[in-house]
Amino acid sequence: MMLEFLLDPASLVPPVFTEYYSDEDDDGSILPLLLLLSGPAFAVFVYLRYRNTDKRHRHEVETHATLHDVRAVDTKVRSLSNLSNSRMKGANHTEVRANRRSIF
Amino acid sequence: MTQLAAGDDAVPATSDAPKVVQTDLGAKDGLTKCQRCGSTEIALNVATGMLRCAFCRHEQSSENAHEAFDLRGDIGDLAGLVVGSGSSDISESTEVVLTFKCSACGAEVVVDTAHSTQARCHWCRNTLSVNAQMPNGAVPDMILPFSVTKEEAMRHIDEFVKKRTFFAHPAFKREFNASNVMGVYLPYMVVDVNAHALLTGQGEHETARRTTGEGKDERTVYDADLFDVEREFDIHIDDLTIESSSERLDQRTGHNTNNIINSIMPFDVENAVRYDSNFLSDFTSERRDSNVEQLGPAVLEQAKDIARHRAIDTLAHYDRGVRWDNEDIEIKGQRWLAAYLPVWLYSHYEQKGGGRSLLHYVAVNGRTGETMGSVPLHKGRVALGAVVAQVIGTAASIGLMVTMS
Ligand SMILES: [Zn+2]
Ligand SMILES: [Zn+2]
Repeated sequence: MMLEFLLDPASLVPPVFTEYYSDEDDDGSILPLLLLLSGPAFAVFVYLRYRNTDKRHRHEVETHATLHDVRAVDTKVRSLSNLSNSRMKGANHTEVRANRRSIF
Repeated sequence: MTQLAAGDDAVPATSDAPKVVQTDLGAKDGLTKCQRCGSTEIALNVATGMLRCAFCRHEQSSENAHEAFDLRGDIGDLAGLVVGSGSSDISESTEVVLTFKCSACGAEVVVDTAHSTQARCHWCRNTLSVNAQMPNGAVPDMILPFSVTKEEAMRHIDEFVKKRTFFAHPAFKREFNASNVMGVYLPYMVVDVNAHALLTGQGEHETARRTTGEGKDERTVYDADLFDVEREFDIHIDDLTIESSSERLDQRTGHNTNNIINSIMPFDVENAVRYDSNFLSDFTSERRDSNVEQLGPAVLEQAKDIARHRAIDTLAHYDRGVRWDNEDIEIKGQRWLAAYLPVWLYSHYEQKGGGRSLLHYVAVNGRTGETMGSVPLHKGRVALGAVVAQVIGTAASIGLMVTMS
């Protein structure tokens, strides 16, 4: 059917959509643009709520583990100023890689 | 009591030869009779977690697996590879369908170990069990008995589905009946890991933030201190649990809904008991078909994730984040046990267009009651809902733009 594309969520989340949420401080001016994505956003929401393709065992936090003899080295390299991002570029300390399921 | 495999002396004592802990000592195949009345009608009493005789109601408890195999030892003392004998490599030549002679009447009884390790003799109605391990993956080191009853599981499934009916596929709604839920023991490997980790990289700590520019050029900028960061530690990972059937390991959500079963972990595997086929009466099982060697890379990758996430606690200073450039994880020791873990599964077979199909599960953890599921969608209705949302969103958007200009 004509509206079938609405159910192919892979095509529904333009990168701009997630970026707006992650980094920039929302000053309200993009709200009208976001509202123009209401239809696709609704389809994605229903898809995930019913099909739960985003769910998995969160092994990285749900597995018991203890640290012992922790040795820490922290050496200041230099000061940086006037950075435009609120987060460090390339930060990966919360990454999960042993992830077998794909959401869509 | 720890018992090393009898054949151990024959194996040259190289450091990488696995140490095998024999976990089926004294296990017997065939008729396992009630100690009090001799009946073979023995099954799990979900309320007590004990095996109960259907005739005389005699209950017998099972030994905790970790204690029975003396595996309570400190993970920090683990060295090399230690495996339970029920985790040993599967040999292709070992039959999956076994034939036994019923010792009560002499008839031949077939046990299909792909689905259970028990079968009933057609002639004398006695139950025959397979308890001795053989290299076909059917008899694990330990089993975690169901403690969530079928009624409780049905309630969880009903509740889950009730919240997802409006956009559900009509065939799913028509056929839905939670009492069709099945209790299945699924195969897993439970792994303890003693590892040493060295993480090196850089981190940033915010020192100031301010607003610059005016009007349209107004933006926030940040100052930060950049650090070289190093973290070195020993990590003891307890009961890392991973599916050990190749079918269940496949979690491509376009092909199956195995991610649903994956998501109801973890289980309290520390309460698993020595394997006894009588736990399988009233339930089915799936056979393990993956070996330690095949699962090793996935376990290492998960261990790295766990180490990376445990290290977060030591990085509070770096509020802008840390970029690890190098992650060395050296596994010093590991201990593997094969386990059957209890899952209540409700299935629905969706026939899709173009001859494709998808098996949807609603799964309930047989210990914790944690519930997750996949409900097929009524696509036309979702599309309609999306159109309605789009119309409302577009109207609101135009309204906002008008008021803002
Ligand atoms: Zn009895
Ligand atoms: Zn018989």
